[in-house]
Amino acid sequence: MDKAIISDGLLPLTIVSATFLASFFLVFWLFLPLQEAIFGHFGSFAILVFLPHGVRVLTAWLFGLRAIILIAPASLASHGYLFGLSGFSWPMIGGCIVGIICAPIIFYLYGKFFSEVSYAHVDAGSWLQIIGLGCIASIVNGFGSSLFYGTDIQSTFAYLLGDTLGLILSMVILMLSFRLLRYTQA
Amino acid sequence: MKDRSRVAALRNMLREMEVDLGLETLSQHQRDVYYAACLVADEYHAVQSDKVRQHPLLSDMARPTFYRALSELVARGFLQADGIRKDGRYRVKT
Repeated sequence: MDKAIISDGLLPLTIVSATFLASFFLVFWLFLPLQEAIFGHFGSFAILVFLPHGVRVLTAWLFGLRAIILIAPASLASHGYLFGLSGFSWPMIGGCIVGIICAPIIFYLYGKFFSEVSYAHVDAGSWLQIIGLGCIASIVNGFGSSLFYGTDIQSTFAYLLGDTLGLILSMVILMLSFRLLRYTQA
Repeated sequence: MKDRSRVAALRNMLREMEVDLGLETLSQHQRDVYYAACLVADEYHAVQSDKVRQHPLLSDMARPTFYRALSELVARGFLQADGIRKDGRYRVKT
């Protein structure tokens, strides 16, 4: 197989999908039971720390609009896991599509109208800019999800909070991982 | 190559976050002195403090700041005093 297809296509797709699914199942198998034990049940799987949003945002920063293709398979798989086949009918699939496109579109529009925040740009953008754009993406995702899933206002804010905290936590986890790597390499 | 530069960019961005959040272990002055010491060290990792101080990385650093950073690096184990006390010889710990 052509090397370029592997390094530019299959490798990023595999890494993004594996990271997305790993963070998704960590959240659903560990964070969700803990959250329900402490805060009770929110509607429509609203989670207060949703790590996969961090994967969406960092993928958008690293790959631009191509992130849509990279995020889509794992997002659709996790959506199917939660809602079954009925999740792929309208309007449920709309909520999933908003989740897939929110971060890449926000990064693209910000770059179009303000300044480019991308790893490839001379000024790659600070972590605060990335978190800021991730928060805007989470607002779009929160309202999009409530529109398509028909969730209540409490769940919408839980989505917003979950995406934002998930993004921050995933960046902290990555930061500590790199730090650990530095120490083990030293 | 592209993927490597993405990982490097990600790592750099998170490194900046670490520094901004105050989680970086060395101050900017300490880091500059340590980097300069690494750059002027000989094959036995030995350095002379005067030579470190003359490095372009430290051209704007005040003398007291330099010596304070140097003693903090020794206290934290990044540098080791080498030879007779106060003769300005150090060994870079890598």
